Amino acid sequence: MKRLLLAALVVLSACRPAETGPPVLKLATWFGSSEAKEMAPIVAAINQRHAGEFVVELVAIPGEYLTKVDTMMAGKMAPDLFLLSQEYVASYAAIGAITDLDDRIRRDPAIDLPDYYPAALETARYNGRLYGLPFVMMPVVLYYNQALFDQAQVAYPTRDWGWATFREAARKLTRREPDGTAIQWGFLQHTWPPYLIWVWQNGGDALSADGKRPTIDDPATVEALRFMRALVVEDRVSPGAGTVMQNGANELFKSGRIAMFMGGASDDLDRVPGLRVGVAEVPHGTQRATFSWMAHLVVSPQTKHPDLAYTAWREVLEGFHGWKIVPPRRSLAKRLKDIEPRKAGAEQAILASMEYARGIRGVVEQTDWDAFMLDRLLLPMLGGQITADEAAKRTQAKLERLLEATP
Amino acid sequence: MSTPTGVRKGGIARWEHVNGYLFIAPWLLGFFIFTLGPMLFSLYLSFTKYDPRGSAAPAWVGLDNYVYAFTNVDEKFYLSLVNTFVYAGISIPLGMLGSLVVALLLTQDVKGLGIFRTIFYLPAVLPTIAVGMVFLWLFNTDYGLVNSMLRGVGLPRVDWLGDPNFVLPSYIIASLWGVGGGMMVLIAAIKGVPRSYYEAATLDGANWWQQFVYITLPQLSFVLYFNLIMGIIGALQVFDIAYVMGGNSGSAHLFFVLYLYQAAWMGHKMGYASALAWILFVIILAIAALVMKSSPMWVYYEGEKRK
Repeated sequence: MKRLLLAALVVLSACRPAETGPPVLKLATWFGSSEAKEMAPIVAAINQRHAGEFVVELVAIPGEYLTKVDTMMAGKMAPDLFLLSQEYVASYAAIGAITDLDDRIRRDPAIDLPDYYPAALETARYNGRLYGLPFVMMPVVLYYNQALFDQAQVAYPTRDWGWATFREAARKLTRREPDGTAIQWGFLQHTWPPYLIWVWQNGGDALSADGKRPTIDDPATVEALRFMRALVVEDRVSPGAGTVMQNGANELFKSGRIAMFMGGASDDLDRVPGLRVGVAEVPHGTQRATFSWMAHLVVSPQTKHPDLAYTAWREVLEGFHGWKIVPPRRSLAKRLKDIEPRKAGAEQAILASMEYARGIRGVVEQTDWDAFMLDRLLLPMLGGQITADEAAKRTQAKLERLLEATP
Repeated sequence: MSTPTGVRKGGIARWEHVNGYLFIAPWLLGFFIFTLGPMLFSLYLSFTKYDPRGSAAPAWVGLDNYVYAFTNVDEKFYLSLVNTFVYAGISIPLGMLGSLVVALLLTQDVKGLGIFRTIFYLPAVLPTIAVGMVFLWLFNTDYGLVNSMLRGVGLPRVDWLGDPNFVLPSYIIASLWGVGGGMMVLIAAIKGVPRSYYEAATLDGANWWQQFVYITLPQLSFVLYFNLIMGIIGALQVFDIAYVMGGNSGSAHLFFVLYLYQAAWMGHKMGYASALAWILFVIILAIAALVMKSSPMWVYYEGEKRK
């Protein structure tokens, strides 16, 4: 019996994880293998600088990222640090799933908040407090296929292009077979690029300034939606939903069948073999605006080492800013060419776009919000089944109810 | 006073009793831990508001989640339910008919039957994810085989996965790839019908159709019944094909389990998602019970005595 007990103890002690060495801080990212490989030396350098203090361990989750992070949270095994796309900040902050870092950030002399682009900072806030800081900013710029422009004898886009010039160019750049089937499109507008680009450019928005009321039915917003619909339904300058969905928006541009494409600043659309691609700012409406995808580095409240996690957070953030384009800080964005020499030709357009790029202020019910936008507004409107006015009216009513209460 | 032999017998019997439980213990443990336990937990969760990301424990809300399902703002509950029923209502009969026709063809006396059976059965063992990917390409608007064939006969191309009117038909067509599963069981049953029945019928002058209706079909009814029950359970829980092929087709592809998944993992409403799961459980149970209740009217078992 004693032997049995001893054996059981040995087995049990072998099951316990060894607790020697500095604490391991897990950093969850959505990176695929190539990005994880690029990131490895950055993490190694951080670990070397903090040898004996902590070890940052990179956890790459290239598929179903948020589902896996959520599952880890549910199991009380959340990663200490993780990446969070801008639209989810409100939803995660509201239930305390990410740490309020506002006080720490403000007290930290190593962080120069005024250096950050205000729009990027805005998306890291919930109820006025910072829950992380952006690690990247990717303003949408206009990529254009120069050969298709030359063929159609249309002048290349400039920053002076307004909606009318853009629309006219898109029409001229769309080519059809005698039976009406398009073989080349002037532009691509599906659920990408974000409808908010047009809305913001017209002085509208999707959400009121206080974040409490949807503003889809505001006249400026509706007018922008009408323009967007006209491009797709009346002018038919964009491929249909099925074509975009099955081939991929970026791939369609890369295949040389789209003349103008709105893509993120860091996309590889300007270095496609066999394609001469120029990069310009997106056209402007009554004002200049473009969408920027932004994402933040956040800290989990489940971390067992909040102080160390904060130190690691700051270090990793700094690492990102020297690696990913475009860094969301003015002083570093200027070094765009040094970080990514292949973007030299696009530098001017990107840096200009950074000045007026905007991100999404998420709502707590972001997932439902997105689903409404897709099902009630974008798909029926761009599919031509409903007018922009009607789509806006219906969506507004639904969104108002959504913001009132959900379980 | 019992004899020594009796004592030994009693002991063995007792041990056999224990051994029996020990042998089924892994299954029982698995059932309690991985099936019944989570089921009961989800039943409890369905009466709570619970976001797994936060630190707050599930909060009791009574029947709120169930009430919300039937009265909610996005009407996705009804939409997904209708989509699922339409899918099941068309794909189950078509699938059963398809597997019956293929099974009848593959029990004819022709050469290369084994190869044909393998070919027809192969899709049934492929993961739905892979099948979904194949159909994504087949239904591709520009380069897909289906549209190429339509163009070949002068018909306009169809935006199969983009046009809301064609999304559901696309899934139903894709689901028919799985007829091989039902086909295998039917082939076995067809082979099991005694030849003497057909010989007797032939002597009586019955033609092929009469033999099929009065001999083959009744003899296969218990397999069709099995296929129907399995088909109902499978079709009402359809998820993977829509998950793979769904993309940006919006609510047109929203099946009930997909909606449930979205509520749980994208909306983070575990309580609500659990309520949805229990609603579906009750629906499937009710339909299966109805089919079972109706089975004495149309299912024939060899050797059964009808009252």
